[in-house]
Amino acid sequence: MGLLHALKDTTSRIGFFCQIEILVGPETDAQFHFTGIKKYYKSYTLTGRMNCVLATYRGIALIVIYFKLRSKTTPAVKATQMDFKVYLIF
Amino acid sequence: MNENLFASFTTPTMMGLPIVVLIIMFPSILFPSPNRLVNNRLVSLQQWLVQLTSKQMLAIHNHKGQTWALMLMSLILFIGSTNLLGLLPHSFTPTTQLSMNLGMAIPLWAGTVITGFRRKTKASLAHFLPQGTPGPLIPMLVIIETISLFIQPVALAVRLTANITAGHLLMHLIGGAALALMNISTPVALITFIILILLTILEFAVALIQAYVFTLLVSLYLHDNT
Repeated sequence: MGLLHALKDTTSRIGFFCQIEILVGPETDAQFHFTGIKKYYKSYTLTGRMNCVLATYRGIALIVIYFKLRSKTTPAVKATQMDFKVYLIF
Repeated sequence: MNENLFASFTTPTMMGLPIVVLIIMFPSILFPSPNRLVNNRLVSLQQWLVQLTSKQMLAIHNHKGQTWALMLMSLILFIGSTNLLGLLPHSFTPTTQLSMNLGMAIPLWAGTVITGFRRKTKASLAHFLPQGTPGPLIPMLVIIETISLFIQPVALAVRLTANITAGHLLMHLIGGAALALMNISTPVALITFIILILLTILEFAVALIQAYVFTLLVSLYLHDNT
């Protein structure tokens, strides 16, 4: 934590995880050189942000579909003769 | 004197026929089209006003954004003139109706968003996540940014409706109070009347400011997406 506090600059902080280049002009994806999964899912690059957003929407859609399918397949509880006899006793 | 406080907000009819469309179209009569190279004073003043507003509003836009110049100028002129005409006594103000303001806000906002998604799909989608967001916060922030996007047209419409309606209601109430206080206490009635005059001046300003704010926000949404 002490090491992180010492690094105030965001660019320097990112530099721990990837190689960076300082370019003149507006920030672009080209100045970050992430590797592995960070190349596609890092919130510092435009591509990474887009993929994170799409992944979040896909996750929400999957959760909604899961609960919709679960409510369809769960059978309704039907009253049986045994339940009726128990009701009569009480 | 109106029967109740909200009589001025009901849809106007004349001999049973709704005339709200005529009332909405009425402000356009007040803006004559220039048909000469050198026009009369009124048209010259109108042209000067439109040029001043368009220069200020379109300065931030690129070429694509400036294609919306006619839409934005029409919008500010329409809302401004409708609000000002609504300050006339016993007149109906279309911008007090949420249905009308939603009818303006939603298509304009949707137009800017669709323009953004068509021209810069990656940047438009990336807009939902601020740069540098820590990993665990990403899903929450994406949901919050999505909700804030869909709230924009509702906020636009409700802001205009609430400001104009509240102003008209206040004027109606304070005017009624000043009239009622005439028989009770003349000095207090005079103070209430002065407050009414100040409020009317404020309402003139609010009418123009709300038109400007509505158009400016649409312009900003367009700027974000072009």
